[in-house]
Amino acid sequence: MESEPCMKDALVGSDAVALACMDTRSGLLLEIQTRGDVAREDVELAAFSAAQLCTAPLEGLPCEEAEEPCEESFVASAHWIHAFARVPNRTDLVVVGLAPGDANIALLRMWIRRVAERVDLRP
Amino acid sequence: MGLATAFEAFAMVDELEPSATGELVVSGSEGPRGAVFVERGRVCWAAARGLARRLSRLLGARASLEPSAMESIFLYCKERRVPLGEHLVTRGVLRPEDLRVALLQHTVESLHHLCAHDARAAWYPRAGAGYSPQFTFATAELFAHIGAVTHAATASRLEPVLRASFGDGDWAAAFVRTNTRGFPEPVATHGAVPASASTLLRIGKWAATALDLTRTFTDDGALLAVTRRTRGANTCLVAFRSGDAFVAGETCEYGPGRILNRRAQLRRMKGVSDADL
Repeated sequence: MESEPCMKDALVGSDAVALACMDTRSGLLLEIQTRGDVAREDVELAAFSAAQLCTAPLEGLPCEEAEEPCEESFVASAHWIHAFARVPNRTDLVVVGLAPGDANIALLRMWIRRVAERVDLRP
Repeated sequence: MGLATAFEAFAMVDELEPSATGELVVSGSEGPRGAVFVERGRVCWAAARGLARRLSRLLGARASLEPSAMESIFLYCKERRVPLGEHLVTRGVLRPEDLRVALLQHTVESLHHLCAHDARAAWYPRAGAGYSPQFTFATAELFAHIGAVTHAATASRLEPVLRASFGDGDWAAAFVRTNTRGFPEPVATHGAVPASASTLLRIGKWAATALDLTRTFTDDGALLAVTRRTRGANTCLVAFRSGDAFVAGETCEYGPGRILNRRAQLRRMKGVSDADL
């Protein structure tokens, strides 16, 4: 997947300090971009958790494992915000953005949705 | 089917049709132990050998009736096959909310006796006695009540947390994990939680797993919010830790912002970490 230029561009001019794209079907981390002194390993761990963190239990089904993929999610703590968004027409792909804890969550979520849409537009 | 815990009895009830009415008869190696009575998929009450008069004692105490008066009412209801508690409410000697509390307590105590070592259960469809739905219980309510009694101090601490974190129309449950149970136990609830104990447990397991994952790349106090489409509107399923427990619930799109704002305010005022809030 040729996502590198797209991901690099996306990181410029945003509050985000890291961006990654995960293929949740194959378990491959397709791309990762960081800036500043962000620990690359932490971003990788967040990306590897994308499949589970962008999923919710399906109610009303007897199967214990019944879960539905969700379009987006985020994990917010005092120090970091991780935003996850599925690529609209390639829902196995999840992009993950990381920003400091004092960043605006709504803006970060909007930004990660746009990044996901841009990944989707690539041939 | 074996029944080592009350949850397994709830899971059996949850697998019945929503219209199911009858008895879940529980036996052990010593013979029949009692039964759980179900009407339209909801638990009416449970009866256990050795606890036959426990409900009338609980009702008598709440209605402030002398034992002799209670005995005559008990016999009257038994002869006419009238539900005792509802008869007391109809006569105005017992408040409906007191009947509900007594039935809940009695049902949970009976389940404790029924679901123990080597218990087995079988389902027998029967005609219903016509209990008022007001005095019957969803399995999730019974499941959470058992947790609240077992972990009373934690439940008391978490009830205000749920009230402060979730609004009208939201629902949430607080869970604990212990070494004695292989699954998260609900200890407090807010709003209209899913009626089925099995679904509530699935939500608890989902939250526990997700929070364990977040711990690998961020701090303990993190809040997870997953956007999903429910009945045509976007809602957020949220999960976060609170002290030695964790909370899972469903709120509106702006709900996570409200929870995060409350946590930030408490952090500033009390100087504690998010996981202790």
